This record gives sequence, C-alpha cells and structure tokens, in this order.
Amino acid sequence: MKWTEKVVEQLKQLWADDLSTAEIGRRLNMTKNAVVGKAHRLGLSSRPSPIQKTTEAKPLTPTTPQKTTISEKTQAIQHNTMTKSNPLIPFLASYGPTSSSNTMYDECVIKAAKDYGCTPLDIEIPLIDDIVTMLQKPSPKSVILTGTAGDGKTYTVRKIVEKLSNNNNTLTNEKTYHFPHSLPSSRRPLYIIKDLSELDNKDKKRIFSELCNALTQHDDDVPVFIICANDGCLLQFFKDYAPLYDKIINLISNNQDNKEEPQTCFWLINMARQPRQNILDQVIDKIVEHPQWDKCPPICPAYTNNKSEKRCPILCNRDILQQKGDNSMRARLRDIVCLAELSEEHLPIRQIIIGIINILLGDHKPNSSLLTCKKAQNRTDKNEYSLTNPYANAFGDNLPQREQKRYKIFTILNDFQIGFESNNFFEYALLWGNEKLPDCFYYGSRIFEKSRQQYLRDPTTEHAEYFLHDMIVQRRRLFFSLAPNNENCHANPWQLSRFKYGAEYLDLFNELFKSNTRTTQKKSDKFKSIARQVLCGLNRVMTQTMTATNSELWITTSSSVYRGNPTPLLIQRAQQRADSQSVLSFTSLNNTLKTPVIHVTQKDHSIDLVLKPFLFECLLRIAHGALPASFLSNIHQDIEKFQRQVTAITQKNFDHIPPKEVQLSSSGELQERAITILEEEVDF
Amino acid sequence: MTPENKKSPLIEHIPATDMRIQEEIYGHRFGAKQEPFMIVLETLAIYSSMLSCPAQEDSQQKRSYSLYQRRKMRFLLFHDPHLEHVIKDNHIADSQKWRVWKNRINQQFLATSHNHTRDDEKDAFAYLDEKFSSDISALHQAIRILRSYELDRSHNRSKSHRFLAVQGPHTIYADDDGRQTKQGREYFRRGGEIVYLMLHQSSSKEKLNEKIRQRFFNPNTPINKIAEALSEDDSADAKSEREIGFLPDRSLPFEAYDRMAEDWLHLLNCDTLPDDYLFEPLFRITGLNLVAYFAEAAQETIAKYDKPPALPIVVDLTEGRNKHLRQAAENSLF
Repeated sequence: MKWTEKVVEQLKQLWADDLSTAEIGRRLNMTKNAVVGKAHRLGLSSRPSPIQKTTEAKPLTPTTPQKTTISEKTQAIQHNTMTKSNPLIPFLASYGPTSSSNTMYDECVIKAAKDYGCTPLDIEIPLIDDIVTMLQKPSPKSVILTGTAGDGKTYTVRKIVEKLSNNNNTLTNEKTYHFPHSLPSSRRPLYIIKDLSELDNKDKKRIFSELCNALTQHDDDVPVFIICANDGCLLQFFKDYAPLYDKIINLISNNQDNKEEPQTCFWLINMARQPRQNILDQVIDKIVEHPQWDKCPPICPAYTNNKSEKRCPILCNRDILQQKGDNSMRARLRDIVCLAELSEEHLPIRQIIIGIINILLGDHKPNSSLLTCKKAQNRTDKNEYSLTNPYANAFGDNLPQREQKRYKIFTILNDFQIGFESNNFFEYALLWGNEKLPDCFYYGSRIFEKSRQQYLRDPTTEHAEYFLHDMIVQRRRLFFSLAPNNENCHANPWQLSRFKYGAEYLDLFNELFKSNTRTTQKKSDKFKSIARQVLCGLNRVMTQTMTATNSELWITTSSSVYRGNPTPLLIQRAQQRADSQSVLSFTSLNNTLKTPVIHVTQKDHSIDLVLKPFLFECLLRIAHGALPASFLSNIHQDIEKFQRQVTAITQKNFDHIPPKEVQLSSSGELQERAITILEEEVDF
Repeated sequence: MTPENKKSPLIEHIPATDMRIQEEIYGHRFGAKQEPFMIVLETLAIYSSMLSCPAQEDSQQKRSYSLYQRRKMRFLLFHDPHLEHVIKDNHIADSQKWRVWKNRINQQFLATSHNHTRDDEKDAFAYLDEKFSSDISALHQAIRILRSYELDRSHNRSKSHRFLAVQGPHTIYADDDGRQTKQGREYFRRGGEIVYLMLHQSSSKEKLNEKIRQRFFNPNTPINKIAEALSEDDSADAKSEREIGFLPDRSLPFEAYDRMAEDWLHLLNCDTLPDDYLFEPLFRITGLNLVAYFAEAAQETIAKYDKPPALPIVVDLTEGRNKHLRQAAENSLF
C-alpha cells in the first residue's frame, strides 16, 4: 500500500497511541519495517522498545562468563544462591574437552578457578616435594621436566613455586619467570621457563649461553633453572650444543634417573615415566569429593535425594563415580588405564581428567557437549536421561566425531570395543530380562524399556535400529557394573569387550607386580593356572598342533621356508625348574609398572617374549580353541621372532644333539620321537 | 648396432642364436617370468656346482656347470604312493613291509626306460637297505620330514619340478630329472646365471664364495643329513650340464656387480639371522638389484650421456595409473 496522506495521518495517530510497530503495520496493511522506516523519515519521536518495558532484567548467570566482565562475574557468583546453579559446574567444565584444553591447560584452569571462586584440583605428586627439598639444599641442581602434553609439567612447576614461597607467590604467565626470592641455602636466583617452545629466536639468543652454563658448570654463582619442554622441543633447542645434546639424548633413551649423579648439573625428569599407581582414583576423588559440591543451591528443583524420580543428572553421574568396589565404574576404568599403559599407550594425567569430567558432565544433545546447571535442570524436567548417560560419555559419544578423535582417552577407550562384543548370556539377559544382573535406577531399564518393548512387539528394521543402539549402551553399562570374578563365568564383564581374557591378564600382572626378585614367594594357584594357559597357547603356535601340553615350553625349529610349511622339529624343552637346561620363567616386576615378560634362559643367555595385552589375548584364545591362523600376522611375527632367537642360541649351545620329531598322543600331550636316521649317525 | 669398441666376444660363443638383443644390452639372456626365488635358487644351484669343482679362470672360454639330478631321492619324495599304502596296510606283516614296498617301487621306477642307469639293475633302491637298516618306519619318518621342506608348496607344481629349501649340498638339484630329452628350462631360465655371473665378476668374489659355502652348503645340517641318506651316492648319480658364458667387460655395470655382491655379503654376514632365514631377504634384494642393473644397462645402450644420471627408484605414485608410470620412466631416461 502506498503512503497516501490519509495513511500517514493514521500512522501518526497510532504512533501517538503507543502501539507497537508490528501492530501498526497490521492495521495499516504495511510491513513493520515499512512503518519503522516511514516513522523515522517523518521524524516521529522515538519510543522505548516495548520488549524492554515489559520484562525484568535477566539474571546474570555464571554459565555465560565470556560475555561479561570480571566484576559482573563475581557479582553473579555472589548471587548464586538466588539463581539455581553451582559455580563448581562451569569450573569443572573448564577441565573437560573444550577447545582450550589442548594448549595452555594449566593457565586456563587457574583462570577458571579464580573466576568461579573454586579451589583448583590438587593432585598429589610426590616428585614435587623431592624437587623442593633438593632446591633448598646448599648445592641445588637445575631441573629439566620433559614428557608429553598433559603429563603435568606446568602443574608441577606451579606447585613448586607455591611451596617454595609458602603460598605467597604463584607462577605468572611470563615466558621466563624470575622467582622473587633467592633459594634459601645456596642464595642462588631461580628462573623458571614453563614452556621452552614459547621462546622465540630472540629470547633464545639472550639466554642460551647463560642456560648452557647453568646446565654444565658446577658453579655456585650461576642461577638455577627449571625448564619444561617435551622431548623433541628440548633436543631441538640444544641441537647446536653438542655436550648437552648428547647427554640429554642418552638420559631420555635410557630412562635413567640422574638425580644422584655427581657430575651432571641438572636433574632430568621424564614426567611420562613417573610411577603413578593410584592416579585414576586420585583424580576421581578430587573431582567428586571437591569441597564445593555443597554449594548446590537447595532451591534447585533437580537437587533431590538419590532415590527420587527426578534427580540432577550431574548428581546421578557423581553417585556412579563415587562407588568403589570391584563392580564399580571406577574399578573398570582403573583396569583400562592399566591395560593401556601395559600396551605402551601412555595416558597423560590431563587425558584422564578430561575423561572423568566428560563422564560427569557429558551431554549428547546436538550443539552441546557438556552440561550446565540449566541444561541439567532441563534434562531432569523432560526426563531425558539417555542424553546424559555416563556409560556413553566415557567413550566420548556426546562429542562430534572430529572432537572425539582429538582426545587420546576416547581413542583408547573405543579401542576396547566395549559394547560391541557379547555372549549369549548377556544377550538373552538384556532381551528377556534377568533379575540377577544389576539395574541402574536412572540409566538402566528406565531408558531401555521403551525400545526393548517396541522391538519385542514389532521387530521391524526401524525398531531394530533403535534397539540395537540401546543394546550397545546397556552392554556398556553392564561392563561398568559387574565384577569379573563372580560365580557365573559367563557374566564376566570382559566378555563385553575385545579383551575377553582381560581379567586373567590383570591377575597375572598383579601377581607379578607384587612379587620381588629377592624373595622367592610361592606363586598362587590362580597365577599357575594362567601361566599354564599361556604355555598351552605358545606350544600350540610353535608346534602347529592343538596340544594340551602346558607344563613346559617345547622349543621347535621355526620355519622360514619360502611359502612352505615344514614340520617343526623339537630342539629342547624349557621347564620352570631352576635346574633344567633351559629355564622358563616370568620376571618379577618389583612394584614397577612394566609389561610382564617370559624368559627362556640357557647358561648365560636369556631371550624375552614381551606379553603385551594383545599377544596375551591371542595366546589365551588359541589355548581355548581358536586357530592360530585366524590372528593377525603381527602376532605370528612376535612369536616367530622369539622362537627364532631361542632356537638360534639353543642350536649354538647344544648342537651335538639332533632334533626330534614332534607327535601328538591320543590324550593331546606332545611326545618326542627320535629321528632314526639322525640318531644312527650320532652313534657312529 | 654396437660401436666397435663395445663388441663383446660373447657373441661368437653362443651358437646359432637368431635374436641377440638381450645379450647385446644385458650381456646375457634372461627368461621372462622367472620368479625371483627361482632366480636365486638357480644361482645357488650354480654355486653348488662351482664350489665343488672350480672351473678354470679363462675369460675366453665358455664355462659350464653341472647339477646332480638326484632322481631317486626325488622319486621317493614326490612320486612314490606305495610307501603310504604299505605302511597303512594291516594285511602285510611288519617284517615283510620293507620287501613288499621295495618290489612295488622298483616296478614303477624301472618301468620308465630313462630311469635305468645300468641295464642289469634290478633294485634301484638297494642303497637304502643299509642306510635305514630295512626299517620302514624310519624311512617313512625321514621322507615325511624332508618332504615338508618343499619350497613354495602352495603352488602345487608338477611332481618333477618341486624344489627343497637349500640347507646343504644334497638339497639342491637340477631343474629336470632326466625325464625330458632336451634340457629342462622350466624354472631355471638363466636369470640365476646372470646373478651368478655378476657375483662372480665382482671384487668380493672370494669372500662371497666362502660365505655361501658356509651358510648354504653346510653338510652337517639335520635336513642335509636326511637328504643324503635318501639319495644314492654322488658317484652313481647322473648329472645335467649347462653352459653359461660370461658377462662382457663393461665400465658402467661393474658398479652393479659390486653393488649386488655387497648386498649379498651384508646379508650373509648377519650372524644373528639363522641360515634358513637368509633365502627370502636374499632373493628380494637380488630382484631389486637386477632391476637396477637392467635399467642402467639400458641407459648405457641408449648412450645418450657420457655419465648417465643416477636412476631414481619410484617407490610410490599418488595416482596409480600406468600412463603416469610410463611418463615418469620416459622422463628419467631421456
């Protein structure tokens, strides 16, 4: 419609009546924008927006911190008892899988701690006290902390600064931090470089000679340095200074502890190889028993007790993480971290923290990764517990694929294929129900019943798809809720993963871990049974028969005939007695976290077979009936290499003894049979 | 085709060849489609002959080598069905089994005329009587074990052309077993001859001879002892002879000879690798060396450069179409 005189008059009238532009537009048959434009051109007095007039000011919530300034944030924090949120939640979220959690992690969490008024997570590392004690001695050494990202280097130096200054000072964000006081006994200055890769060429030129001096001269006047860097960066930095370069390479590759070495002026510590027995439990406890959980406001509708229908999912997840005992999520996570370490997949502390936070706060809604208090209330309200399932969060399912792949914790957990393996017992139990299996009040039948009933009534493709997906989730829940050593051997949670013999491996490891080379402790029956299964599997591979022999190892000639299949010939039998010619033994680990190893020792030589979890799994499956050919060739290569080395030294030491043919008796035991033609020759 | 100063005296010695292209370029003919492991097997066969009776070092004269046929051993290993039957047959008394089996096998063996070494031979396997003390189960055991050392078993070749892993002088034999009238070139297609000639004309020839003898022709390995027990005396065995020439005197490919010899020596000197593990890496590195030698010889023949540039070995192409591969090859040569 055109702006005729009459229409303009009507506009002016309605404008003075204080109607909204939209309403004016409707009455005049014009668009709102046309009305606004015309009013502006006419120069009509501007009126305040009706939206501002009718609603009150929105409360500033601490969940959107980046849009507000610090003072507003602290205001918000003070108001938290008026709003229904706990500042602990966004604080913990800063430890989780966010984009800033890869670089500058420690700086990021310290800032978050300050912003939300929460105490930062305080993981105990005994090394910190050792370093502080060393620095307070009359002749302290410089310290180099190396390791992968997330191993705790920046955290350690921060703690060192706090301890040295009795909590009066803390580490700043400068590239080189000069500790304000000189060290107590030695009166030497202390400089801290919290990340060597941050130094550009200019900085490097400035301090290079001083740094090299400090690390190579036993001088009482040079300053003491603490440097954090990962291995590659460290070597790159010192590549032009040969004495240091060679020394550092040596120390890193031999994994020696040079604290007590008198001739070196620095102590190199590889954070990735530090002993950390209870790290998972420590991390979980620090998170779920953080003092500020009591700041959850009582007016929050989701803040109910743990038997009520509607409870905040964050609190539900916290309950699950608090459980201890052999059938808890904590126990299985501990097992998984241990298995990963033994497979030489090192999990830095940061990854463990990210994993736990994700379990606690993961949210599977699109465009959302972690829960906030508001989102949690929302989920409670709408009964959407399937979106906050900790048993799915453990695998990073709440994150987009791309994000999931960035974090080692999720890659490792997904490698175990938990939920994708099963057996008849579990399938039947999930499909038809089984009272003996544990149910979870929030994440069990509550989220599973619907798709299960739907599928049972009508197993069409669509229902099947949802059902199968939910089955995977339930299997994962059962994995984290069952103890491995229960009466029913089929209800072993490890059957739900790729490592069906995971429990046996951990038993073997624990037994060896506790044992000491100095004391000859008697091995338990459990250990002996597992050792027998390992030997059975090895014998089956080495003799190419499905034998039952499991008390000794039959050393046979390995074949390397091109595309051939020569019969294995027995060279010697290795036994577990100390007086036999070839001694078979498992090494004691003396409380160090190392992969179990089988040794065959003859005279002075010893050949090792490293029993990594994957190899162990294959051997046990072979011992229980799988065919050796159904496994990857890497396994065969590992065993073949061991076989070849043992054969080589045996042949060298005992070459006057002719080999024997291997046969299988009717009971499945291996028997040796002399090769007549060779024996006759020897008789000459 | 060749400039005068490169004329090889080889040509006069190869009788009545129509096509001499390969000999001109590479110095010797090589058979296409000879598998790499066959090439090295042939080379080792030639070495077994040369090491036992070294020929004169006359560069003008053609050389030849001869290999034992070991027909009887091969018959026992690959052709004889009677042993299994007799062993399993419960109607024959144990003490009679040896005699019964001997009769049957002789019938089959001597029926074919070319198997006769002497006209009056009634029992071709008489030598086994003493060696095995007429114990049929001992014989069965020995045959069973040795048979399993066949190379490339999955290919299921014809019975006359099966080979054993080289673990001693008695485990190597000629490509034919005397059945064909003309010299068998089924598998030993001269590729091994080229390798032998290259190694023999390299500067580390002596060391190589010693090492090969030590690693591949140790007569005391258990497998060799079994093979020796199953074959008749060398003096009674027939031999197949072959002629090989020599590689021409060239400037460029001498590097190729030394290169190949160096690779062989490095492998043979690996003491941590047991003897029976050497074969596979050896033939793989030989294949690579041969490819490089052929390419360099081709380059020299084209004679475009005074000093030809080093040949790149393309390990991977991002777009794997043949057109690109040919293009890259052309670009490097021209």
